[in-house]
Amino acid sequence: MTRSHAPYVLLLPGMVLIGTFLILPIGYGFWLSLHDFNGIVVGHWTGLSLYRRVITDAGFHEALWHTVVFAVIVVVGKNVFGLALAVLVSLPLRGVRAFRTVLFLPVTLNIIVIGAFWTYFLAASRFGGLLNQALSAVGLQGLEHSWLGTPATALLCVSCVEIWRWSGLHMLIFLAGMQAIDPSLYAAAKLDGANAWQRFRHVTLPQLRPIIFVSTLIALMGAFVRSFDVVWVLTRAGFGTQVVVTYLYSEAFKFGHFAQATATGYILLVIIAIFAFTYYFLSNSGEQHD
Amino acid sequence: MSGKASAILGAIALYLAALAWHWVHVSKQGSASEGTGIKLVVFGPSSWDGFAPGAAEDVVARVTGDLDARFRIEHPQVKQIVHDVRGPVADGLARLRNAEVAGDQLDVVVCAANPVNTAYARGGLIAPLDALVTRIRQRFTPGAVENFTVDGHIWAAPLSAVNLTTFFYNKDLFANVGAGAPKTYSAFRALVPKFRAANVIPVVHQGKNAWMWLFYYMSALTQATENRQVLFVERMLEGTTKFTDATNVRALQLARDWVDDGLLDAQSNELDETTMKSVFYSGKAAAFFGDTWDIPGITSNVTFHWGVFPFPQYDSALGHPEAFGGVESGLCISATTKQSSLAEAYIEFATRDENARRLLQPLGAFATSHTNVVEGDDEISRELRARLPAAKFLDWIFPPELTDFMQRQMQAMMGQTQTPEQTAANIEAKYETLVQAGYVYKPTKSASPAATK
Amino acid sequence: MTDSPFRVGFARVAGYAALLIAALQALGPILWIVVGSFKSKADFLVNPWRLPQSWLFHNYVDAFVVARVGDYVWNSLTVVTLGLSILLVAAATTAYALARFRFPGRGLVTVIILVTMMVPSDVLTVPLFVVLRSLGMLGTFLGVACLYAASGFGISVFLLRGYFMSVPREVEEAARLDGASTLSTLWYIVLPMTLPGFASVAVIQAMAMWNDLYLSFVFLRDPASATVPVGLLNFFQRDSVDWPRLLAALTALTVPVLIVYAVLQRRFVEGLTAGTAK
Repeated sequence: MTRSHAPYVLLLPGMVLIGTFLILPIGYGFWLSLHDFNGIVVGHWTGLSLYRRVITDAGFHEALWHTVVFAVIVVVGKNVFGLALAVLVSLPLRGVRAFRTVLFLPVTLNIIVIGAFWTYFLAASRFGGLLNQALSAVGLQGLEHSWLGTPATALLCVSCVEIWRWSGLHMLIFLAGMQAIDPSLYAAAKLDGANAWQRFRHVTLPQLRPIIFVSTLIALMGAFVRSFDVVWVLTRAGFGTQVVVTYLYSEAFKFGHFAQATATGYILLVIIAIFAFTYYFLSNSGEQHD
Repeated sequence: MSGKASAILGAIALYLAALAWHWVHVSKQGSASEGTGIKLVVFGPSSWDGFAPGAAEDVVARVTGDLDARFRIEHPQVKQIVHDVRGPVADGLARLRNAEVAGDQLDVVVCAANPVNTAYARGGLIAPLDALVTRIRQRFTPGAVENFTVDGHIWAAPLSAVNLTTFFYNKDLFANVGAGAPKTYSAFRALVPKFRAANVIPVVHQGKNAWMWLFYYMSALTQATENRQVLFVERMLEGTTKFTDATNVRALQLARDWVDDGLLDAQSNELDETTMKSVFYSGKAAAFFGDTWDIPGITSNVTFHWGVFPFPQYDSALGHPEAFGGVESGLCISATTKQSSLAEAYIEFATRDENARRLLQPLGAFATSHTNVVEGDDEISRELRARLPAAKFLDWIFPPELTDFMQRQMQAMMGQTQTPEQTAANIEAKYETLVQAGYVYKPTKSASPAATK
Repeated sequence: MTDSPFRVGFARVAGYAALLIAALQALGPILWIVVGSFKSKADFLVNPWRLPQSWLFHNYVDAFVVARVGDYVWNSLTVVTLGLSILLVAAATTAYALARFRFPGRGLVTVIILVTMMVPSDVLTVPLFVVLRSLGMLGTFLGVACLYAASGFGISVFLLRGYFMSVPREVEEAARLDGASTLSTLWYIVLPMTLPGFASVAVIQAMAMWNDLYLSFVFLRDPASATVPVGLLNFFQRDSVDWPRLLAALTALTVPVLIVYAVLQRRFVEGLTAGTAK
């Protein structure tokens, strides 16, 4: 294998995999969205009319707005907490290693159980909700609230549960990145008289830039594309938590509008693409120096 | 190679070998069943869609195996009958559709009446059974066949217990406040201060499951329209009456009163079926509005005396309360089956009186789809039987997009974040967007008000 | 050190406190699950927070004997091992190509991978059905494993690319000068140096595949092939979820996963302290 052929040979396995199982279905799916398709039988050509119908649907606008708010909170939260946890478990304290396993726990949990736990936790005191009971126990009855039943707080709580759920994963990502940082850089910084916080700001963070980029990308994708589980299990997509993927699911599986649901999926793709590529190009311009 | 490394490699090799063996084993299982003789597949889209639903697993296995054995005596060419009944109710439609699209073998489908009316029949997932059911019609109660009649065709042979909407209540808690089952709404409302003094929630609801709120709306609408609710709904869907019509708003207000008057917990929207029932079972709430399918759960979980009472009479309303429901499930034929005559034979066999009796016996139901099969002779069964005939569930008439929207609107209204007038206006607006997108109401033959027995 | 001893002491206490809080928020639900698994159904429904009236062990037995959770575990292990193998090979090679080589089409490949990460699986259900059916892989472990590998591909590639890019170029140049081929460089030099990152990716993807419900629900319809999440759905019966039994099954399943993770943590993600190319 010559040098010049090397990249192409390397790319082969991956491209075959996603070519067959992602690109082909995506293309076929797009073709389906241009027809009247009920999930079983492909009907007549409808062109972009389904796309127009989705874009003008008030329900879609609402879902999109919720998704954007959710995504912003979640992406920031996952990164901040992930990084904080990674730093925390890297501190020169005894026994810190055990915490690495413990903090990863929420990532391993089944979504159904996550839903059951947090639903019980956030319920009204009289329904056994620990949070509200705790608030009234410390004298803060005024703060008691129907967390998952009120439009504004429901979305916030769902976002927080999602951050809670995945922080351990981002911690792992950052941890692995931090392992790769050359210790001599820290040594040099110490010699220059930098304290812990300054070392973090001027050595750790810059070295972690590519990792932060990936972590943000993952968080972004997760918030837009994989948020169905957490929303469904906590609020059944009610109380102002309807996001685009739950909207899509209803269209496809409750109402049988498969083609419209597919069109929604591709519109979502375009929207995410705009976010992701903007972020990618902004990061990449800073990344060229490697 | 060091000892530790070879140990690890050995363990990995062992692991991979075990997996490979398991993989081959499972694949062989799959192909072995395509062996000799005919195989019949009885499919249940969700775990609710099987024989003797709600009974203990071993009981279900016994009655099903029994039935299959007797069927194979009559039809010896059938070597194997497979029952594939799994999954949550919400995913039933998806599971059925996926199985058919994938080309899996599906012959008989055990269907619940709601999805048959709202999805399966018009979605092309099942085939009509007019000829067969007409031939054996005398086995079933008239209302039973009605429940599975859509667009003038019969889509299933009924085989199930009858289910009714009903209030369940904690007799002990009611006795503590010196009351029995309330007959009128005002009598019930009068108990609110007493319950509050005893630190008991009068009524709870599984509000997180938006679809359950329609029970309150339907019950209120029945009384507000003097029991002509089906006709009224039809007129709203045809466009001759608006959803903002005074009667409809009145019905919404009557439902909303439950929360405003302190009867129904204002935070019921936080509760799903599990959390609501745990509130009831633990004695924190005195009653809930559910359906007789909740009975097996109640009998196995409560430690107090419990009873049932019908939806109370609104004093100011003109109609009288009706219970909704009827025959809940039946046997359909998959649209993709290649063995329709065999599937029909199985359906005919299972719905014979003697076989139906064996299948329905574990349920102890107060009424069933079969005229000659009646179980349940306890006080509660007799009380429920007295409320028959059941009224048809209204959400079978609404188009699914509108039903879904209405459920969410009800949820918001009962959560006190919007008024009944606003709710009605929102629903009317949604209806109009549907009409603009091409919705036209297609009356089903069984929509006449009299035929709900 | 430029920090005073007092500040160090305070920082240490603060550090432990923060760790404790973090651990509590992670462990809380686990404790709830474990405690709940020892209750009877009625006990659980009455008050899911208090300690059990009596500690029952039959839930664990029932989970494995009656609900046959062991079968699901075998199926999950098969699918995950298969999927992970395919994924790691494809992702590592692709990530290496993107990290170290400048070639025409590099940007295009990156864009394509990004785009494939953005499509929700619901949308692809029907097309995937058709593709798998034409390949004869519908309902097979291999088919679902390929789907898992494909859906984790994008994230893995980007993560691995990031880790690969942090390897100093001199090491690879040295190997190249010694006559090593590209693949050998990848296998013998780059991967060992990025083992923490590689292991992290493997762990994350394994977790995702293990917990996936949607794809296995749709594509593995034969009850004998059900993976763990699909099998757990069976606990949701008609009108009453057997929560304690479900929690017992989950506890029994989570513990081995945690042990495996803890072991991998120590061995791989802890990292190579001395580094190999210094």
